[in-house]
Amino acid sequence: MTPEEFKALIDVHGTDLIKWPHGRRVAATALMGADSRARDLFAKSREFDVLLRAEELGLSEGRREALTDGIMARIVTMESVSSPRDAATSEARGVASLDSGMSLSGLGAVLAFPRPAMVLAYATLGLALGIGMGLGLLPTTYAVITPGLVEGVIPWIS
Amino acid sequence: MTLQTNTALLKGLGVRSSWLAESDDASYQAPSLDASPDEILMLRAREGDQDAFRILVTRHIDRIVGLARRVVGPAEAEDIAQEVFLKLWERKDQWRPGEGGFRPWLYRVALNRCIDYTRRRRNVPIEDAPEQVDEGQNPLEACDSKQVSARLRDAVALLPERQKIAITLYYNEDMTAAEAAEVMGMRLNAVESLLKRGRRKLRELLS
Repeated sequence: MTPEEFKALIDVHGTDLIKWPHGRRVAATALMGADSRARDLFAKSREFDVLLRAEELGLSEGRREALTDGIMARIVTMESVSSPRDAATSEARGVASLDSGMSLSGLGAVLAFPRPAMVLAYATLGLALGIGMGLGLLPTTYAVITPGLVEGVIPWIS
Repeated sequence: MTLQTNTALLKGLGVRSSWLAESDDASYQAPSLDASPDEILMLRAREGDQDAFRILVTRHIDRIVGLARRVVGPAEAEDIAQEVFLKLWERKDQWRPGEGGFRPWLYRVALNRCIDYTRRRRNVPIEDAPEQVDEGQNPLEACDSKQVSARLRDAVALLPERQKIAITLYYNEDMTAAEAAEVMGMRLNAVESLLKRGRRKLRELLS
């Protein structure tokens, strides 16, 4: 390692050799062993690193506890406000009930039914009812439509 | 996803097996929650365990207040820290143990909050800006170490935002350049460049 490379690495990584790229630590140590100017540069840079790492005073125990209590109180409030809404949303998606193994019944079961399947079921039911009603009312339909055709539409066409 | 289903992921993260073991032995005693690794606590928090989350808050709040003091300023630091932990709770479902540890995620959320604050502050008319705490007036600052901290904080405050963040993560949060790059969402060589320029500028300011 050249002294220039050594200086460039200190400029980027400081003097904590553990944070240096793997391959350069041994070379840097060897250079410092052989070159007094490299050792001086390292010592001066280390003083600067100590300054950079100057610790802020931490929170006092009371302040830390007060902040933590404040955060947890807001979480409890958030949860109590959001819980009923979340439960309804999850049921509608059919997620929470199925995951937790809750029994599905009544309106809950209808809401929890997957949406595409529900649409298909309603469509099939509607079609079946339509056909059934059509077949059941066929004579009545003819009785209403035929005179209308005979007395109204055909004379109008002719 | 339950605790059991995450066992493989946690092993991948290097979480000790004693935290994962579920013994049939009646004499087996589960490790106390207080001593649990962050990842285990976060998994429990994700399942709604507020006690586990409280331990995480207590464990990390000093660091987050310190980070916010350096990046934004002392006046807003505690508010920012509170918002960071509330945001973490709100987004707890988004945390995935296999996508990096808890600490990088925490710092990413914290830095985003700090950046929001500094940008909002730039848009606040000067007469509406919060009054800055005059650290120099505090009698406790007669203490040398506090004076050094205040000098350093003043100097760091003069750095451009990204240099300030890189320097803080590297020297105060004791991250490597690669870890800082991950938290900042930047390439390693870009962060190394920020560290170099930041260190040079601080040397000028503090000399």
